[in-house]
Amino acid sequence: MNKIFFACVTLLFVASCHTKKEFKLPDVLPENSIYNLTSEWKTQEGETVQLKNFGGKINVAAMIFTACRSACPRITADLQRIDAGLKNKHKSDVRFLLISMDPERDTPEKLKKFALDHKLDLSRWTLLTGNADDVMEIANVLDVRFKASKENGIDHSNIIHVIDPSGVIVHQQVGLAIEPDETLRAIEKLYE
Amino acid sequence: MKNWLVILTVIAAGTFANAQVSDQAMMATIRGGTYVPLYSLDTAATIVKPFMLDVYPVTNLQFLEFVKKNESWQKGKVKQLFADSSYLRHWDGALLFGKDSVKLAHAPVVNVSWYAAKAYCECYGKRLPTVAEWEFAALANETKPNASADSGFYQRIIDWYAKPSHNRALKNIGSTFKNYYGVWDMHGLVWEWTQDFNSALTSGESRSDSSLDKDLFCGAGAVNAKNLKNYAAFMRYAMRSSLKAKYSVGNLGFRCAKDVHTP
Amino acid sequence: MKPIRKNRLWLLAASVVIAGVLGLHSCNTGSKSDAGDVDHLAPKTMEKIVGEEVAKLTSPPMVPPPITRKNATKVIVNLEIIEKEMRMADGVTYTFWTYGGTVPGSFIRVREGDFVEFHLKNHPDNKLPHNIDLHAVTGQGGGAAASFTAPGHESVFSFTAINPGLYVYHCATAPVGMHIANGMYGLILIEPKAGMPPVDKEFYVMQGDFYTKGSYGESGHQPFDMEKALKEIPDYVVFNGSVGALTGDNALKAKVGDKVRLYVGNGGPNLVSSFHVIGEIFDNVWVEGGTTVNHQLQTTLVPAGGSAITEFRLDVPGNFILVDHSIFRTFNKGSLGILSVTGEENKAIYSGKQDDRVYQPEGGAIQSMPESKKPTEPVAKTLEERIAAGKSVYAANCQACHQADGKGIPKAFPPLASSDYLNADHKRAVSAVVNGLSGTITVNGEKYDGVMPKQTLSDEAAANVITYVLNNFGNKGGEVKPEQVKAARK
Repeated sequence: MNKIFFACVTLLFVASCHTKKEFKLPDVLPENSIYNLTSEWKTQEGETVQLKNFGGKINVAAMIFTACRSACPRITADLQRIDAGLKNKHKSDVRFLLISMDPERDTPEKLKKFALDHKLDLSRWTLLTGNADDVMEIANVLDVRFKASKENGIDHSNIIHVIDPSGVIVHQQVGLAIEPDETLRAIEKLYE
Repeated sequence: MKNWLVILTVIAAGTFANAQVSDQAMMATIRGGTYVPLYSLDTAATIVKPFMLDVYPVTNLQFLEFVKKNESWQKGKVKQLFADSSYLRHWDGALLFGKDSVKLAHAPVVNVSWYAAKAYCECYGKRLPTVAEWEFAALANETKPNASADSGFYQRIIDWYAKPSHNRALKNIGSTFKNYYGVWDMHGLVWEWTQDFNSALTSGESRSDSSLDKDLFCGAGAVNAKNLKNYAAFMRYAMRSSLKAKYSVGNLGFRCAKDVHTP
Repeated sequence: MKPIRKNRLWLLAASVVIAGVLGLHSCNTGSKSDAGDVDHLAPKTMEKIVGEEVAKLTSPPMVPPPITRKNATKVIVNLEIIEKEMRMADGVTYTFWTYGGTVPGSFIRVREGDFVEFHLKNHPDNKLPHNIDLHAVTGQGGGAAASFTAPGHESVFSFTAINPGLYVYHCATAPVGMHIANGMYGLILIEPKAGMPPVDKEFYVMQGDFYTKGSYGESGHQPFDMEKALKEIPDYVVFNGSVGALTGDNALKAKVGDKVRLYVGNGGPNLVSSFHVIGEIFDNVWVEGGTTVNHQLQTTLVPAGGSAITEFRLDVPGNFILVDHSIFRTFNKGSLGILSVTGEENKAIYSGKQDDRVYQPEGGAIQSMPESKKPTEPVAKTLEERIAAGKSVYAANCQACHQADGKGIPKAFPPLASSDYLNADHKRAVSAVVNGLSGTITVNGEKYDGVMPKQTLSDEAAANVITYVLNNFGNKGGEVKPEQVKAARK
């Protein structure tokens, strides 16, 4: 009888521990944390933020520009597939970041419109725009290559990043229309 | 005290007086023009606005002064996000060149990441040149602003690219040639960082990547006399596309640029 | 372990193009299946990977030992890229870009089914980024994009060796032609599951063409010449990266009775090789390095970026000469190697010369090569300078026939070493060099009846090379002056 009770308590304890994994931004950032960047950004609501403000959660991030006709809607859809694949209990820990690589044209208003057009849940998704220098810097941190092309387009690499709560990139999904399984596994791993 | 250290090092180097150190930060004005990228989906010329460019690449001594003032860029203190483990590998310590100090002082600084180069330029109110600006200035030989038709000039460049750089200390700045604009060492001393180096989109696989920069490789296949020029540029292009911003490479240095202000 | 591949597709358009190509491919396979060839085209089944090992790589002309494993394993390959100055010919250096410090690069040997984890390291002193395209890899670019590496960095990628065969690997960084022209190629053998049939000796031979500012034999450090490369007119066509890499002390060695296998590659960048071994017939040739084995071949084509495996049993002793049978390359550009075979004669198979009689047709002109324009060159002031200058002239013009040790090739090319013919009359030697020589001569008791073409050498160069020979190879010394050469010209 006692034994059974003890086992039950242990089980409960283990289970609750598992679901209650607490994420937070560490006091001392790891050296390779992207939260070491001090650049300032504007959100789709026009608020000024630093990347560090997104710390303490798991972030899934990608660079886009709103005038983009082919790859960026696709990459946004890929992010939505990742979102859809998340376990319900994890949804509140995972945030999505879209960073514009086209600061000249992507005003907060444009970002907002893009978000509404794509029916993004703005309680968990944030769109950011900054100045050209900072965009170049974040692109380099994220290994994204881009350059202006014909007819006001931008040629760019398509990479989705999984960033852990301390700001370290733990996984990169390279390419378009990739099955989200590996990326989802990388997110799951953060709970281990 | 810090100044003393600088002066001592300069005296040790022997050949330069302190005043000349500041001369090394001199800039030349590059009158703008158009530049046709050697490979691009559009054949349209890029407009290069007038700009100013450092006459010399940044030296070890100049970089030493910078890291003295900016501790976070010192060897051993720089964050992993901004530089790999080869950062200033040729220096013995954070503020110390070591045994080759005489040779190193006025040689171009290498083993610096893009972030460090960018921070250096910003510290002096400058910025890194863009690829278009750099390539535009690099078109000039000793006598002409555009030496694209001079095959001897490009052969010289290729000959330099073809040689490995086995010496710990490179030659001093001002040891190659001074071009039409009065800018030294654009070719033949070190590779140089550019602001938008990451606009080189190839993966280094020079036959695929056809989705972008088609002309880069189709151009390579076309047999014509202009190929010599393309080859030199290919190699710079390949070099840029192999880099990540935190890389520190043994023959990759930088110089700064600045807008010409008409406020 | 799972292969990791980074497919960098930047545009949706790219994937559309690729999907198009795949579609086309499946159409092809569909039509081919009518021929009953279905098995070849079926997807490969992966063998179970057991254990892990680090591949032992070898420098040419050596080949790693045969693989005796009966299972697939994980093989770690470490290959370092080194840009370095090396000898191209005597007195001539060139900046080679190498895989593993040699041209051709290190030989890689793995087994069919192996899972290969490839580590490509670009030495920090190197000037350029590099990568590797292994023809043995099934995957985009043969690994090129995945292995693109800046100086001072290392790239890791992996692949499963699903197709047995002998494959070329090379650098595919822009400008590709120049990277290959500077020596960035080598061979990887994917040994079939059952292994290659056992032989006594295995060697690694790879041809390449080189384009230098100075013409063949011109001394000093020679830079790459792109104009010549574009026109596909090489100054050097060599086996294993330099003139003489497989002659003299470097000759391949075997014994009568040995079964010899040559893993032959051709790095190009431009020329196709007509690979031939003088005095041997290939018993077996794995044509173009694939699975088709042909027999009784004299000459086999080795395409640029291709290979062949040739095999033969040695029945008689002698020097068997490896050539590109596009023969001017051999005698004037360096594509000559020697397989030196020792052992007992077998007169029934090869007799040697048995009779010698006079035959006089009408005429009988001496072979004369067209004159070329003479290079400007330094003038030797002392005997020592003359001997020194003559050495590289010898290597470039004489060594192919008379050999590095001056001993010649019995019954074909007379010896210059301890040569009674030479020491007896310097004037006659000078005339032979500048005017050519035909008819029977006797050297050290042996009769020779060949034709020596007149050499297109300047007075200075001819004087230098004859003086070099007179003061080497056990000869009695002496000096020939350019004036004497001039006087001897007919």
